[in-house]
Amino acid sequence: MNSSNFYKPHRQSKAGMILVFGNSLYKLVKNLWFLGIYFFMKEQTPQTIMLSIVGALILLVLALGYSILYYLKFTFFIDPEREEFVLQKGVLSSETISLPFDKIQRVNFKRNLLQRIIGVYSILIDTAGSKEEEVEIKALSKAKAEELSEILMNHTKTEDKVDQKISQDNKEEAALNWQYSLNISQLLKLGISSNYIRGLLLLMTFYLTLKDQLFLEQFFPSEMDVVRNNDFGITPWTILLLLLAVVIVTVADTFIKYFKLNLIKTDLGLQVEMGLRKNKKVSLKGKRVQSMEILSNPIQKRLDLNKVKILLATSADDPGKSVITIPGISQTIVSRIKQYVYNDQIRQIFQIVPNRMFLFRKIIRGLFPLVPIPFIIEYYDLNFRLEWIIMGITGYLILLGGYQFLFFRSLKLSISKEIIVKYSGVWRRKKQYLEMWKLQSVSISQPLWHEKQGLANLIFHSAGGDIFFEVIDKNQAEILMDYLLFKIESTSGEWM
Amino acid sequence: MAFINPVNFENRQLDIDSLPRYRGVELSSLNQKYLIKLNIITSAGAILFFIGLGITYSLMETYKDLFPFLAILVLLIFLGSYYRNFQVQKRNGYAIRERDIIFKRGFIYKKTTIVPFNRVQHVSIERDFPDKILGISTLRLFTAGGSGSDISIPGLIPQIANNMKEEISKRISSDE
Repeated sequence: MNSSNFYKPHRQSKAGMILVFGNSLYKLVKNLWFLGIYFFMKEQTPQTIMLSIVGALILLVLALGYSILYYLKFTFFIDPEREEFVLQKGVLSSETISLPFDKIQRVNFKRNLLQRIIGVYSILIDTAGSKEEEVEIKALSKAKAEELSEILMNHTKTEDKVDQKISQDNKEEAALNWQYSLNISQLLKLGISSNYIRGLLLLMTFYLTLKDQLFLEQFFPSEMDVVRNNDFGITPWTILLLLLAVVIVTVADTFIKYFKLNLIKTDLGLQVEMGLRKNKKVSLKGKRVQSMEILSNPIQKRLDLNKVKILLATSADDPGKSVITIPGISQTIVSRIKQYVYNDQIRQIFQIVPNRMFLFRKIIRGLFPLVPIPFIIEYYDLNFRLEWIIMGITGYLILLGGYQFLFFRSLKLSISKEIIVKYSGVWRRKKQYLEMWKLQSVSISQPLWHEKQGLANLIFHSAGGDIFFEVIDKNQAEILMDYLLFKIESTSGEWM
Repeated sequence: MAFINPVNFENRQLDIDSLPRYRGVELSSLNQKYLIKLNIITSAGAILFFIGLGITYSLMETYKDLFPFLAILVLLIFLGSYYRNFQVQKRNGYAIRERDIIFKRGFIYKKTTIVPFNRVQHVSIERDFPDKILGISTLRLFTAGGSGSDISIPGLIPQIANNMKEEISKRISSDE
């Protein structure tokens, strides 16, 4: 193999120039798209059209020049004597990044849509500890990317190198256990059955940015009229149109995020790949999993589409939480993932449910929003009929009580020998899994007003966030806490 | 993954009653100087607030009748926080066991956090301005579990804080 060239300053592959140019174009469009819309919304004089075209051309030439310079100045090489990987970049100011080999943890590949089209790979170098976590070289041909990764991995002395070695030695043995991919119709179902709130928010952000950017023009009276006519006529048709737009945005969002979702389980571990714009590829090691959530709602349950959220710890110094969301997987796959992550099977030996005071407390809290109502009525001098007020309040109380009762009923803490599972949720059912010995610490808290009743709250602090379980019997809480501490303290080994 | 030693774990029947209980542990309370610190902070807040209230009173034209009530309300709140300071001082406490550290704090909302030494990332001693004047220190323990899981024990005599830090550091490293 002709690896020698990596020891001299080396540029990205030629196609990289297209990539850099594409990226700068993308940035330009992202920041200036509203100008385009503005351009088409108003009738323009030929003069302004000419000026705009000239302006756009100048921008394009500048972007091209910048991209070429960026490409030429972006060099990297391996310094074998100082045991470093050195990267130099920057058009106006130049920056040199040196990564000592012993800091390099992992080398990953990534591709987005453009990279796929022009046939290059991104190579990501993960380092331990330091703030500058990742170094990305965006355009390398497949052969070169693999070569560089191999050289780097051969130089590094971390445990992942051992993993890499093993994977090379056992290439034949790394047999495929199972595989799962999401097809288009499932993706469609997932999009339609998922939460529309995100879609609505996306649409609203879009609308607000548009409005915000065009706001300056609104002092023209003619423009005002246009805006008024367009936006403030609420008819059934506009509502229907809006709903349709929300659904389309939600489905599109789902497609972009989870396109070609693919799960591969081999003897070496679980790999997840997904995304249209940014193709993400993550290898999940059971060791790094800090907690796991399984989510579904009744509709998705019927379609057998469950969502799994996995929280990983990346490094011990800076446990930057990385969350991997895998939607649209069937019950069987969920249990396979569970089997892989928690090879010990989950068998409940004990369960804790909250005390009734929990329900009481939630309902009391839900009453607070009612307090300002008399003042509002008084202040604005609203003439509501008494019957209407009573009906409104009764309706609210029934909804509040019903919801809180169902929520209260859904709460359960299931304790197995090694694992805690928290159940919650009325519509969106959530199961949170925690491996006891991986917890970082445990807290018990008690407000003054629960002292007499002997009730307390438990808080499990994991590297993937805190999980609360509130208003339970204090004795039970204490026993569980003692047991958890025993588990943490008596289990030796790294929690990530 | 060699995190569970089967010999020690898989077959052992666990007797819940024989687990070491954290409740029985006797907690050491924080130094009295910490109470002084709390009261100084509360007093400083009260003084600033009343100065502000006085200035607003002299500048305001309308609603002047409301001010006595406001002043009484604020006074009650500050008296309440003095009371809280005393209660907090009475209840706050810490203890070091062989394998973990227990810290209990709060009055209206009591909270006990136990951090096992094999999950501590690092330990530090901090002293802010009032600490320096009063001659006390704060011991802080950091874990990977985020701010909820970290603990900081205030109101320690520097000597004790140093000893604790050394003791904990020793246990962190011996665990690994």
